[in-house]
Amino acid sequence: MADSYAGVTVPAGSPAGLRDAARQFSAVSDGLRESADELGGMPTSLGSWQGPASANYAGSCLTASQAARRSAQGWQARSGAIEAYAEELEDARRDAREAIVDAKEAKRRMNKAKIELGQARRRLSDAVGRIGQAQQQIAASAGSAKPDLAAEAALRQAERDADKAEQDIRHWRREYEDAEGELERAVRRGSRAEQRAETAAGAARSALRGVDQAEPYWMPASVPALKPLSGLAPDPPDVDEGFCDGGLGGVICDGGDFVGDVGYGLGKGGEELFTAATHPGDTAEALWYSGTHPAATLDALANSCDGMSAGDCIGYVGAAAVGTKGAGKLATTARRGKPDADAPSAKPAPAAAPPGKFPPGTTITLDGKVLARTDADGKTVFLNRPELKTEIGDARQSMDLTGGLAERLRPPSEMRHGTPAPKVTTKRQVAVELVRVLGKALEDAGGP
Amino acid sequence: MPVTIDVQPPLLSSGAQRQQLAAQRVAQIASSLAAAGQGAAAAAGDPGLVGTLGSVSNDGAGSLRGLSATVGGLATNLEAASQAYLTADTSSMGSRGTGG
Repeated sequence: MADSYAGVTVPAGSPAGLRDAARQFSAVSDGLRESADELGGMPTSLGSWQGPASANYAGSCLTASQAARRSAQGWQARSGAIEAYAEELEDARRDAREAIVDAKEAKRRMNKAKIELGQARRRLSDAVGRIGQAQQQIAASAGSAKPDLAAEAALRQAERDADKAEQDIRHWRREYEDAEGELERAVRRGSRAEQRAETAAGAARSALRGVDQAEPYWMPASVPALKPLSGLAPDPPDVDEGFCDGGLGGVICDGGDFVGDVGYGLGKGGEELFTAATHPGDTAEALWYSGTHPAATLDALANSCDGMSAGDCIGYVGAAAVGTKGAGKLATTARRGKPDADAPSAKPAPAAAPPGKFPPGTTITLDGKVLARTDADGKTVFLNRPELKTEIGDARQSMDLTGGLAERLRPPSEMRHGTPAPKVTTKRQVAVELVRVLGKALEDAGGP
Repeated sequence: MPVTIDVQPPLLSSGAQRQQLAAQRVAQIASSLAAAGQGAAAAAGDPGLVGTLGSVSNDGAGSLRGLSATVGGLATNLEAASQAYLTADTSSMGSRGTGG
């Protein structure tokens, strides 16, 4: 409850509480600065790790570190603004309290003056009455030879009392007026204190907003959305717009809700990832995942070569890559709502397909060949793996025109004379090389 | 140009654990911030400032929770990458000397 008197109110708020909050904000800033340092140092703590995934990881760590550091700076600034407000508020509250004390003192003086004034007026009235009586007595004794000395003495005393009462009246009137002036000054001082607190609060609001503008809140959209591989993390944010703006992200995000939603739930571990990534005809999730996690995908792809010869491995990995390249075209088809003109069942895609699904009856093509269709429920029905495999030859040729993928994937035994030998010497490097080519192929797939 | 990949999966795993802890610390900071914001709003006095402090601290805490989730997701992916590297190195290409 606010302390208030004679129109003066002590500004609400707790400077001590504000200082405590400012210290907590400062502690938040310190913690964020430490987190920023920690996040920024993460890439260098992972030994000699290098490669595309390493670079992407380092970039994400740097982005997160910068976000934490900006936030730390923002909260330090907010802490300072609140500290400054606490100081102003404390001064204002002290001034208001002192004004109230002064006002109370002035009121006390006014009340006393009023009482004294009343008493003096009564004394004056009494003296005036006595003067009248004495004058009557003196007038009555004027005819006698002996003057009424007692009446004359009473008259002089009454006149002195009247003079004194008049002096007191003047004194207490001045005292009252002085106290009244003191009360007005106290009230004005209290008003100024209240105004000072309001001004300080306004300055604090402006400062906080200024911090907001200078240090806008970083939102998780600044870092590409990351899907958990093994269910260790909570559900990460959806694919963000920044990630979808261009390059590989642009291709992957072309499908909008489709690619965002189908990726959700892909978290049953590396083995399932491996299966999904190497069998794109089996699961649409793989398309999304393969594009957003090329390094991990290719590790999984490389796993698929277990027990195969190098040539088979390359062909097998290539098949998966073709399927992955199809992700961009599938997504593009969904975005543009263009069914395959060659498909008898093709019809314009409904505008309001459920998120994560193609419209029912959509025919999905890859390089002009039917790859999959959606049934009446909108469920995507991919061609089975053997059928997909039969299309690999054409697709490889197509990709050869854009990214030279087929050339790079051709087993060494099939290399033509004079063709620059790909720098592929181990199965591991097949996968490594394919990471780079796959990324290029995905980017190419995003073109018109 | 060929890409060179060099990796020590155990370091990635330990890094993922540290990063997960870092994510938890950011989440704790977010909670501290929310509490501090409530305290600041309660102590502010001025109604306008109460609202500003409330929204600023809520927005900030939400932002930090998002940061925590993203850092945690990055940690999860780092661990997954470590496992994928290990799997690829130990079993994807068959045993030594059997491949082409």
